[in-house]
Amino acid sequence: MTLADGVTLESPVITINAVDYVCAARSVRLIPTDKKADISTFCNPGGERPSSTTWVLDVELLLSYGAVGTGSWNTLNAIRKTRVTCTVKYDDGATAVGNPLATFDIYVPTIPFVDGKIGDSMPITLTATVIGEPVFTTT
Amino acid sequence: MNIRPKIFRATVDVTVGRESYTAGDVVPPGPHLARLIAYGFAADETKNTNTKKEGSADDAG
Repeated sequence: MTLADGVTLESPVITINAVDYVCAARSVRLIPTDKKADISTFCNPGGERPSSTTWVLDVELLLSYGAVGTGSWNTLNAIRKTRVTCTVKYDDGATAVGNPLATFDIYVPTIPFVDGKIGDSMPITLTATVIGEPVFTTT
Repeated sequence: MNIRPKIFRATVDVTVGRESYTAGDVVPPGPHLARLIAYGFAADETKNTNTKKEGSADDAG
């Protein structure tokens, strides 16, 4: 058995509360961190093993303004501190074994209103801890 | 009165935490089931509905 070639991230799906952020986003990360349980014994001094997992969503996106559903600031500000559902997958094609869909809930953080210097675009990073673990579907 | 507990089945192939379910598998009660129902990935077996609407406004649940 041979593993597939690595993929490149070019046209992902990033939805937050059913709004597609792909044209405002420039990076997306859904990263797990395992806590480590101490299983140290006389036979395994210093031993540890993974225990509970925390997932964090990071989306770097550009600030824009407009109606809710158009301006990134307006849209995220309207749902700040509320629990919403997000979906992420690496490609916007159909969900499949080769293109799994992650679905999960987050509490939306309050995002900056402006953040930049003269002539700059205004990238911000939306960071939120996933509630529970993502659900991965392949069909 | 005869009360039969509802049986929920996965409507898609789904993995949550360390558990994986193939479409049609019974999902036992618990936090996974609640979330799968909320996302439309599991349904009462008496309702023949695949409610998954990926990437759409319905994802908000």
